[in-house]
Order: sequence, then C-alpha cells, then structure tokens
Amino acid sequence: MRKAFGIFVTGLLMLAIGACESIDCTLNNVVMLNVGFYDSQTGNSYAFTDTLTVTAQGTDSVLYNRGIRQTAITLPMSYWQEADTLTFSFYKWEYDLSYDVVLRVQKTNFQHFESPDCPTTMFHTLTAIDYDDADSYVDSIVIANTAVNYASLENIKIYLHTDD
Amino acid sequence: MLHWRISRYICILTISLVALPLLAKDNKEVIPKAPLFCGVAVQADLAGPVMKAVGSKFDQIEVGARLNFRDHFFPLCELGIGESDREGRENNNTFHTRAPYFRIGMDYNLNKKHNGNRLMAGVRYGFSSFKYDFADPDFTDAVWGGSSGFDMQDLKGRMQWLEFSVGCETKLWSFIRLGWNLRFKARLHQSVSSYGAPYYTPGFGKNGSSTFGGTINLIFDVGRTSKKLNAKQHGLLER
Repeated sequence: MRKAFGIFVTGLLMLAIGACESIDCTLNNVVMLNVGFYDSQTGNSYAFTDTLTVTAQGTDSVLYNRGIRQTAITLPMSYWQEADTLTFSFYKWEYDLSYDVVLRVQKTNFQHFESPDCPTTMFHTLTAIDYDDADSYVDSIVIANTAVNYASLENIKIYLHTDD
Repeated sequence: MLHWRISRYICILTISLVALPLLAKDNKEVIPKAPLFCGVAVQADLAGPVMKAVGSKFDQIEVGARLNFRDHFFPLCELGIGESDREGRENNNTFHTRAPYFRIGMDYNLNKKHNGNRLMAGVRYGFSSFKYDFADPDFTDAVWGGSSGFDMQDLKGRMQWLEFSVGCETKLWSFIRLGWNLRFKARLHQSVSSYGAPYYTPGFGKNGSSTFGGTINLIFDVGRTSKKLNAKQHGLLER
C-alpha cells in the first residue's frame, strides 16, 4: 500500500509540474498597414525629402505626424469600415507648399484571436486601391501584399516622382 | 526543434525497449511465461477530476480499456471528454470548449517479472473533433472608435496527434491496480477556424505543436485469464 501511495503522489507531483504555464502571446501583436516609398525612375526604395503627415476621414487622430526621410511608414486601419480614405500631405518647407494625395483603400476585415491571455485584433485583406493626386506628386500606387496581419509585410508601394 | 524532440523521444523509447530485455538476459532466474491472452482491464483517470476540483484551466474525464497479451503487450483504447473554461488574466476574454476525444495505441511492459509491478512505455494516436467559443466584450477600435464586441460561437476545430508515454503501475489489491504515466504529445494535423486557433484541444491539452501531459489511472483487471496469471505468478500452476 505504501508503494501505491508513493506512485500516486509521484504522479500528482509530476502532473502539477507539467501544469505550470507561461503566457506566450505573439510578440509582434500590432496590425498596421505597411507603406513603402519608391523612386518611380529607378524602382529603388526612396526616403522622401518632404515632411509627411497622414490623416484619415472618420477620425480626428493624426495617423502619421510630420515624418521626413523615411523609406516606409506604418498606419493603423479602421476595424469596421469597408474602405479607409487616407490623406498624405507632403509639405515642402523651402517653398511653403503642400501637396495632398488622397488614397482610398478598400478592404475586408476579420477578427482574430490567439489566446484568452492575448489581445484580440482585426486582420484585413486589401481588395482595391485608388487615389487622387491633383499635383501629380505621385507616379503610381500599387498593392504589394493584400494581407494586413502580424506578418508585417509591405502592403502598398507608393512610387514618387523624384526628379524635381 | 520539434523534430529533434520527437526523434530524441523515439530514440530513448527504442533503446529502452531493446536494451532493457538484453540487460535482463544475464539474470539466470527462470521467469514463468505468461499466457498469450492474460485478460482485459478497464481504467479511469483520477487526475481529471482532481484538476476539475482545484479549478484547473482545463480538465478531462477519461476512461479506457486494454487487452493483455503475455503480460507485455497492451493494446488499448481511451476515450474521454475534455473541457476548458478560461478567462484572460489581464482582460475579459473568454474561451470555452467541451468535446469528446479518442485514443488508440499500445503499451509495452518493460518488467520481465510477473510480480504485479509494470514499467510501461507506449505510443498512442489521438483524435478530437470539437467546437469552441471565444469572446472579447471589450473589443474596440482605438483610432476610429466604435465597438461591436467580439463573440465567436461554435468555431470548428479538429486535431490528430501522437503520444509517447512512459509510466509505471502496481497492484493495490487483488484485481485493482494504480499507475501513472507521462506523455509527450506531438501534433500531426490541425484544422481550426480562420479567426484563431483554440486555446485548448480536448485530449491534447494546451494547443501547440507539442505538449506534455499525463494521467493517474485506477485500473481494474477483469476476466478469468488474469486470475490464471496471478496464480501462475505465485507458482500455483505448472510452467
């Protein structure tokens, strides 16, 4: 009987040790739209030289505030809207001129979870984009990767005219 | 990493299965040969109810049955109901599932003596098809605003896995035995909702490519052949 009791207690102890648990949420748990900037002539990555601010319809928040010399930026996307309208404002300090490029990103949204301990989030799939560029500041804009999720791949490529 | 761990586990099991009987060859003691069919046993897991009683994040109720050939080979099947009701530690997320699971496999008794004690090594194939719920009542868009909550019901999941186990058991009284085993579980295939994978899979445990688990079994030997084996162990029958 003593042997059986020993076996039972040993089993319980081993199971208790095995029951120890740690929270293992994904470290990169931010879902953002990744936008890259490129030279329209060479196709190479390009650090824009004018100050960029990005705002969006439907929110007072500034999504990206006065950045300069960046080759890529990340922007939050709305959870529930079927399309986000983003305004990219490029400001030339030397001429005190501002150029606005309005980008409409159509998408589908789907909720995503990892574990009860981890934050839930919204993934997106880009379906189409179009843009207004009255000043011809931009050469073209294309979708590079439709999936907006934890993978953080580049989603949109903006080709800028760089000769002026 | 997973392949390395599985390979190491298989190597240890293989070496144990091959080397231990060879080492035992030096023992000059003549061990009575057990009958081909030594009976049937049914078993119940005691760890599951204990886990439920102490409020574990998941638990199971499990029973099983096995055959006994030569007191060494134990083909078996196990079935149970796994359950998990889980709340996030630092949020109000909830996860729920409750579903049956099945396992088939075989244990091998490494102890050559028929003295009632068994050192077991085994392998099992497990399967579960289940539904799970996930909810986040505080799900909001921090930038654009708005909230519709997050309440997913009856998401479908399915998993197949392999288990490699080691354990031991001893006779408590007459036909009643007690034993435990530890199991390394490796996922073979998983099919889950695109919204997210389950936190817990019934029979497997916390979801992942591999995990550890175990059971504490109360075992009942049934059938006449097991009585014959007991008699033979005590030299009451001819060899």
